[in-house]
Amino acid sequence: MANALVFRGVSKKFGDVVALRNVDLEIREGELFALLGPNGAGKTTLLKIAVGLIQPSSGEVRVFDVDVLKESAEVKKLIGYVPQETIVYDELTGLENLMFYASLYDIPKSVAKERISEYVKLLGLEEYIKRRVGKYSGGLKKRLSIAASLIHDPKLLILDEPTTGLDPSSRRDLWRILQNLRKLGKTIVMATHYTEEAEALADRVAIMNEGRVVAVGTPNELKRRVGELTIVKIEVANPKPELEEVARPYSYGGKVLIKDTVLRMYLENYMTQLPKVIEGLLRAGVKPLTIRVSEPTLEDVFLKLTGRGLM
Amino acid sequence: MTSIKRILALTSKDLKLSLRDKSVIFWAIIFPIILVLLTALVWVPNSTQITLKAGVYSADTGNFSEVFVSALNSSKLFRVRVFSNFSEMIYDLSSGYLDAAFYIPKGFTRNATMGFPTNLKAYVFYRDPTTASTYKGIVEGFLYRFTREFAIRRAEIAIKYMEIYAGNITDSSPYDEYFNLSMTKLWILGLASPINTSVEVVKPKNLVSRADILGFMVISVIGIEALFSGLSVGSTAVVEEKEKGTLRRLLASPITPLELLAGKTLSCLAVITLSAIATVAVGLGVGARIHFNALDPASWLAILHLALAAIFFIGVGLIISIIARTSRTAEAITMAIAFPYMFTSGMWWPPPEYLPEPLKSFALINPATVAVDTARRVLGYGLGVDAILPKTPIVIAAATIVFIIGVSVYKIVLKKVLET
Repeated sequence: MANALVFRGVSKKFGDVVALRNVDLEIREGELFALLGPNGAGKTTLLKIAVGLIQPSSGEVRVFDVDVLKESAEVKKLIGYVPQETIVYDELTGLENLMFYASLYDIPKSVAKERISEYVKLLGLEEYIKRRVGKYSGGLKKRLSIAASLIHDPKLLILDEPTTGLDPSSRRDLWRILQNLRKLGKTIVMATHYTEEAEALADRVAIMNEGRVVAVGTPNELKRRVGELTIVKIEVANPKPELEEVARPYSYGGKVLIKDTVLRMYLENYMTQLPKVIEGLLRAGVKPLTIRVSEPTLEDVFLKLTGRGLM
Repeated sequence: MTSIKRILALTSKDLKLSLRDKSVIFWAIIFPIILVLLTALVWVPNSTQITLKAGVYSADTGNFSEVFVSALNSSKLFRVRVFSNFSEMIYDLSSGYLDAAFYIPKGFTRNATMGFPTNLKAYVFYRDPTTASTYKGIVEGFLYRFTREFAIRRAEIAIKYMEIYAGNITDSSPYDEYFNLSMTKLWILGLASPINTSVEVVKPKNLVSRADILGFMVISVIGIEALFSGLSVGSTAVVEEKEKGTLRRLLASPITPLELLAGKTLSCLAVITLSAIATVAVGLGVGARIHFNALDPASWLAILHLALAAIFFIGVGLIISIIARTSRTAEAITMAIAFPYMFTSGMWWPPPEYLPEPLKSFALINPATVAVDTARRVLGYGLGVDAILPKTPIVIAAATIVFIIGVSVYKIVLKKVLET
């Protein structure tokens, strides 16, 4: 399978701040690829470089084997880009927005109208397309933004945090839309910091942290990196500052994550180790309320690889 | 897809956005119309005759003070109100309810009719240096004419009595060829009115009517529209698209940054054109005369000058954009610059020749003022190509240089915004 997007040795500096460090990545044609990482990991910068909005300090980027730096205009025709913000004008109707974006590419009006009709149906916008965008909900605006990015029929669709700020229902709708687009043969690259989104949608995931790609693979391949460890989540009644200290000696690699009242840790043999953990907690005056034992998620992978949580 | 088509698509989009934005409608259409109406109704009223509100207090009981009041009224220079209390009249004058006041002292009639010197005191309200000077001139002019008429009447009476009582002096007087009755009458009249003077107001050859003055002001309003719209479009060129969230998407399309700017510049010129059409229509409605002749190159040069003034201000706006991080800041800076500029640059009122130094000198070399001033001399005064063509190269050069500097700043701002 050919590569849709390739980064080779890409680095980017903003003054003294290093945003990307020698990123190597190959995204195959037809796959839905997720860049997973916390804010500031370098996902947006990497996508902006792919689109040609900013130039890398060093390295090479190719889209369907076309050099982004040398043939930026050609590359722009191959890419549909949906930045984190909504890209549509509130003062125009949905239809006017789509016609405007169509006019920026070499699309005859009749073809544009056909495509608009097709994507409006696919994205469930029929009812709203003649209304001013200012009256749309956030989810509708995002859908219209995707339609505007598909208007020139790009082979590669790049989305930066597409579901950030959307309610759960709109997020699910968007997932369904992205899956349908992949079925239509589009290559989709999206940046996200939601592990469940990457797990649910992506064929492959690249985990990014502090400007580096720390792991690449299918969600299952990545989860296997956590090994035979068991994830244990203990909800406590009274989280104390010493909670982490109590749990750390029992968790694999000393990696412990505390979110609100939930303690998350990794045990090699939970049958023997879990009672010791509970005993330690009780001795420290911490009262466990619920205990859950589960399979690892991409968040666990991230924690294992970076030693810190995603959020 | 040609670059031109993309630019036109951007222009069309920006124009639609502008026409659906109430604030743009206000600044592009309503504001210039208000300026034209104000000009027509307040600054260039139908009648050029000035009438002062005048108070008169007379401490005199004779009928000659009534003659004076009657003269004030019949002069049409004053709308007279007679006061019975001097303090009340001065209070009204100092409060601005009156423009002038006259105090007629006791014995005014007696002294006047007996042929003795007499007094009369006038006061003028100081609203501002210009109006105070104008009012003072009107009052002094009236008093001069009244005194002169009065002196002539006295002389005529003196002559009448002389004819009756000076029997030795006849037209065939034996004493001297100059000392005869006719010469003596002339001599007495000469005492009353030694020099007959007259002053005539000469207007510029082409500025002869209210319609021309209004036409001049209508073109000034279009210049002001270029000032406001140009600064606004230039200063918000980047931040507006950034705030809408559309900047990255636009630049991820085949549009180049320069095409984006060209689209915005053209839409700005289109908005100014619509504004100009509305302004001219309202101007014509209130009686302005616009000297536009499609066959006269001067008319087209004038339009070119107005367009270049807009491009000049877009360039200045682009330079401002380096310090304006949000569109609100950009608009605030635009207003802070445009309003004082409107009254100190000679583009609106006062025109350059009425500005104090050093503003006057600056206005005469300021390319934007030169562009608008030459355009309004052609379209407002009806001057020919000689009045504008010599200035065209300067205006083109200045607009080009400022716009190029603005584009360089625009590129820097754009790069910064895309990297954040």
